[in-house]
This record gives sequence, structure tokens and C-alpha cells, in this order.
Amino acid sequence: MNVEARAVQRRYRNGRGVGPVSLRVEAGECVALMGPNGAGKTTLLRLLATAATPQRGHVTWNGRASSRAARRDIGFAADVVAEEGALTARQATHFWCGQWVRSAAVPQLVSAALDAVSLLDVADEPVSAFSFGMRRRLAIAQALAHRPRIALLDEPTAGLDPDGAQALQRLLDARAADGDITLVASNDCSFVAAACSRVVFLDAGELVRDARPAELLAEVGGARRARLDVSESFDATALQRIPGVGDVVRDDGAVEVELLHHGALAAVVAAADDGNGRLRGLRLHSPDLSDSFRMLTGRSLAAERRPASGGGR
Amino acid sequence: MALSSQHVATSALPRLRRVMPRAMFTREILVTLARPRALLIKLAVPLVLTVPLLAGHAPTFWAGMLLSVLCAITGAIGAAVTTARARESGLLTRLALTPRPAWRVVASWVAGGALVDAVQLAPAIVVVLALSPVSTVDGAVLVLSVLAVLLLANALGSAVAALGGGPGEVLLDVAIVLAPLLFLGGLFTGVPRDGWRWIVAQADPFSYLHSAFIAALGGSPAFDAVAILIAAACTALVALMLPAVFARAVLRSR
Repeated sequence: MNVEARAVQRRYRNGRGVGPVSLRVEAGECVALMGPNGAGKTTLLRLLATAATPQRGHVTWNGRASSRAARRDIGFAADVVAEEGALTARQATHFWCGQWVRSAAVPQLVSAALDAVSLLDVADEPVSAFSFGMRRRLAIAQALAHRPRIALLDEPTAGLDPDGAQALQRLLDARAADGDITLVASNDCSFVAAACSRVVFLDAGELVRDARPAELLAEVGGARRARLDVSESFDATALQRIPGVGDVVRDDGAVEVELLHHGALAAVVAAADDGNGRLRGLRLHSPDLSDSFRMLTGRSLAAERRPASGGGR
Repeated sequence: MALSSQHVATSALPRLRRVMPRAMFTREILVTLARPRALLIKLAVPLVLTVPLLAGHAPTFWAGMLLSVLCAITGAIGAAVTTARARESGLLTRLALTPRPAWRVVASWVAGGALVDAVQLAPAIVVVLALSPVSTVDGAVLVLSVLAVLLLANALGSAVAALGGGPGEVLLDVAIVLAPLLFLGGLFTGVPRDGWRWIVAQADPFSYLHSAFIAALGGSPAFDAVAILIAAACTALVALMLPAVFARAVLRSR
């Protein structure tokens, strides 16, 4: 099983969208699409899910270009949660699973999917009474209940609590072990680093990097960083003389300090907190995939690309 | 002690929740039945219109016209608004990504919507049959004609919703399509004896429904029972075939 996009392009009137982009995902891989809002993650996911057709290039699923045949192997969870009316979680999941599977196995598949996202206890309660996080878990269960060979999940951790994110990670690990393909569009750096075997960075609709998470993190370096919120009059040069301190970078109303040794933090705080009230806040940050993206593009994952014009899709 | 409708509805819910939907037909019916209060209101609205009409001995032509329009808008607007809401909630996109053929999904949905509408209109039709001097044949013809028009109205509503827009916009779109059809069916003016409008009225399913109501209410219809029955069969056939034409557009609409 594999999925391949060859020079696919889908651009909207406002200039947003994706492409041309080429990407091949093999069996057992879990690939994360990362990039700021408007980078083209969802558009690429929709192209691979057959929810949109490329203006240029083409997508193949296991070497075949038939999107109708491909749908038998695809499970897709969009970034919005579909309304299920007054149906219970079990009824709604049964309906979706039943669109792919026509056998007596559906009830077992449904129970297993709901159990995997910790919704089995509330399976017979109406979805309308569920919280947003529970609906997100339900959407994931519905996308995976029919055991698709290719799962495409848009922002799967949005609204999930830490337990939910861990349950999802276990699901994706099990899928990878079974040789199934998973693509997720997500900027949740810790989840992606833990759950995905490959990361694809997209920026302004173009693929800027495709690598393993460990490789990307190694490029950034392993040192922690302390971000000090300080007043304008604060002199940052004193920090550079502290043993164990690497780069010191002034950034708007803050100073970012690279901590090469664990003991350096106390000395940095002592130097910054000199009793004149110039240190207003402190935040510690371990390097993650967002630093890798920033290093490559000079932009933050949280940034949103402004469209070229004000038009809609 | 008499059971209240709320009690009956509440006690029926656990049983309903054990029914597992596989097609849009069952899903549509379950979604409707799972909201008893909304269902009761839907049942009450046609009754509120029908009972005063019959109790006040309204002229059969106008009573038939109002009841025909009620059937048409119940089916078409209900289907269009449901489709528009489904588009907004992402349901249509999810349906488009299933391996099932689009026409089968939409045809099943149209049939489910028509059945829900039939349940909604059933008390009003029962009142018509109970309060009017209707023969068994005319009564049966009326029921079949109503079912056929509900199927067509649901198909039309879904097709119009494929043009896009929210529930408010599709409501107006449906009115623009439905009003000329009702006019050409002679619901407001009667079916002319000759000319192009007579030819058009022969092909307009709403004119046959109007006749079925007039006959059931004891008036003089433009078409006889056999013509109405044949028209009902053709209407139902067209309604079930229409999704093959527009189903993909509905599921892919934005």
C-alpha cells in the first residue's frame, strides 16, 4: 500500500492552497503535515482523501488513480466535527462504519473503535450531549472504525485532553505496526514528535522539508532556551558572560537565552532579577519542531499567511 | 391514567437507540424520531392549518390548493434546508467520501425525508379523510398521490440545495422553483381547458395532487382517479431517478 502525489496543485482565487507538491507515503508510515495556517496542509489532505481534485498533477493510491476505488481504503476525519443530531455515538459510528463494511462484524468494529478513544462507556448517549473534545474523539473513531488502510486526520489533537492525545498516539502506533498509512495535519509539536515517523513542512503551499522528527530536532540542537520578558532598559550583554550560556538574542520585549548547562538557569535568573523590577516573566522552552520550522523558514508555525487578495475560495 | 405524549416519547427512546442505521433512509428517520418535541410540533402545524379549513367548510378548490401547497413546501423546503444544514456541518463531504455511489446515498436520503414528511402530514390527511365525504377509491388515490408528490418534492429540494448557500438561501431558491410549478399546475387558477397551459398542466404532478384533494373533499377535479394514479406512479419513478442526475452535485456542493 502507498499513496503518492505527483506535482499536485490546487490553488484558490485568494492564492492559498497547495502545490505543486510531490509526496510519497509508504505502508506503515505516519506522516505529519506541518505549517502555519494557510500553508496548504488541509488542502493537501483533502486531495489525498479524494475530497478535492487537483488542478495539476495527480494522486495515486497503491498505484491506481481511481478516486472511487481509493475511497474503499480511506478514512478521513475533517477539522470540523459533523453534527450527528440526536443519534447516539454507537448509532452514528455504526452508520459511518456501515458505509464501508457490510457484514455482521460492524458492531464489533464500532465497539472497538469507541473503546480505543475511551467513549465506550458513553456509547449509548446522544452525541448532542457530548463536549467538543468528546466529539473530536468520536470523529477519530468514525474515521478509523472500518480499519482503513489509509487514514487522513486533520488536526486530530485539537480539543483532546492529554489522555485523549495519548490514546490517539497508541492508535497510530498500532496502525503503523499493521502496515497502515496515516497522514495527520497538525502543528502539535509534542504529539507529532512522539507519534509520527516523518514530518513534512509546508509553507505558502510549498513543501520546504521532508524528514524524520529526530533528524529535524538534531538540526535545531538539544539546548533548552529561557525566554525572559524584560523592560527596554535591560542590558542583555551581562548574560553572555555567564558560564553555560550560549546565544543571547534580543526579540521585541524579551531576551532569549540558550542554556548549555542545567546550572546556567539559576545564574541567568540571578543576573536578570537585579531588584530593579526589569525582569517581568520567565518561560523555559525545550527545542521542538516549531524551532525547526522557524530555522528553515524564518517564520513561526503559529503565523498565518495573509492571502494575496480578499476573495474567497 | 392516561400517558402523556412526553412519557410515551421518553419511554420509546431507549428502544430507538438500539436501532442501528446503515443507510441515509434509516438515519433520517432515527434523527427525526429521536427528537420527540420537534416531531410533535411538525405534526401539529399541518393540523392547525387543516382543521379550521375543513371545519369552516372552505371551498373545495381553495382547500385543495392550500393542502397541495402544504405538501409541496413540506417536502421541498424540508429537504433543501436539511441538505443545506448537512453541507454546513460537513455531513455532505463525509458522505461524498464513502465508497457508496452518490445516487444511492441521495436516493435513500430523499426516500427517508419523504417518509418523515408523510408521517408529519398523516394526521392532517386522516382529518381530511374523516371529515369529508370521500369514497375508499378517492381516499386511496389521495394517499398515493401525496406520497408520490412528497418523494418528488424531496428530490426537488435536494436538487435545488445543490446550488449552494445556507438554509435561508436555499429556502428562497426552492420558492423560486416551486411557485411557477404550482402556478402551471393550475393550483391558483384551475387547469385551463386548452392552450399551452393545459398541455403543461398535464405534465405537472402538482395539478394531479390538487385534483386528488378536490376529489377527496367532494369537489369536481380536473383529472379522474385513473389519471391521478398513473401520474402518481410516474411522479414516484421520476423522483427516484432524479438523484442519478444531481446526487454528485449535491454531495460536492459548497
